[in-house]
Amino acid sequence: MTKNIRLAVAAVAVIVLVGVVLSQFASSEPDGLEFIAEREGFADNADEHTLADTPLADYGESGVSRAIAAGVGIVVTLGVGLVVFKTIGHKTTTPESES
Amino acid sequence: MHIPDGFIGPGASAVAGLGAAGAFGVALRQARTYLTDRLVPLAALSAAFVFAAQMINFPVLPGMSGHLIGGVLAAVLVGPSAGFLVLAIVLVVQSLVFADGGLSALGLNILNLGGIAAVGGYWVHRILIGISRRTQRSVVVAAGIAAALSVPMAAAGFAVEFAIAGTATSVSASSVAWTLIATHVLIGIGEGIITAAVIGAVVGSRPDLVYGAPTYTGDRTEDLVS
Repeated sequence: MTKNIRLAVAAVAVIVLVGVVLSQFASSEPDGLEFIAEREGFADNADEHTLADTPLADYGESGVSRAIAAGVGIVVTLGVGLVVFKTIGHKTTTPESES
Repeated sequence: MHIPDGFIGPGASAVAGLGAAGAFGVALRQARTYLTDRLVPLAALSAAFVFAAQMINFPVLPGMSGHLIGGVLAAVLVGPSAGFLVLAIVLVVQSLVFADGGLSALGLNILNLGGIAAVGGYWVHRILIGISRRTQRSVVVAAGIAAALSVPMAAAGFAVEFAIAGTATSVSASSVAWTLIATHVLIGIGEGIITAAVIGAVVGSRPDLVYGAPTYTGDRTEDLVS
């Protein structure tokens, strides 16, 4: 059990490292779909996102705002994930499959 | 590759929304049949990891970047139906909290990244496992290859949607399809490397928890090899 908790803590540390620290060095070039949309001439068909003016839109610029966006996103996805998967999760029904 | 509002017509987007909602229900029901309590933390951590990793755009071509989808990663870790749910959760949070991926395009994005990349990519992984020697190493290699292929597969999904219901009617749909698939083959290389690295790390420490590995000790909704 303590080994499982250690692994979960290590996983969270990796996730925070990726989201908060490494994402600061992310490329700001358009992604594949945006790039092709510009190249093929339909990028202007994109409507501005309804929530484009909200504080966390586009994960903040860089630095602190991006770190906060990453932190919020990690907490929210982890939280929603736990709620959804806890709802459908159940005790093992076939004890012989548990090693 | 999050589709913004406006690329695909409202009718098709709404149909995709209904389809994604239905698929979410099916995935919930299927995941319920095998998702035991001990897999719950791994599934939730997968969602957080996919979210964090998707924030990192890596350079692919001059002027173009790519980022992880994480579909095969999630599906190999927690199974195709829970993997679909992981991607759906991430996409909903990204669209509602971070204005990334259009609200009307949410269904399209869930079908492309959760349906095609995660579930479709999982089946590529499963086929590769079937013809492999089923060692720990083949799980990692199969996941990497399946992940690499899942990216152009998802891009092809968008290309089909664009051909059917794209709003840019003056644009050549086949030209969009080929350039999109070609660039996403390149982005898929990054997807394959990251997926193989993460699956390798998890299989190395908890081979019993990885759904797509022969060493997995829980229930599956389908046999790993036919």
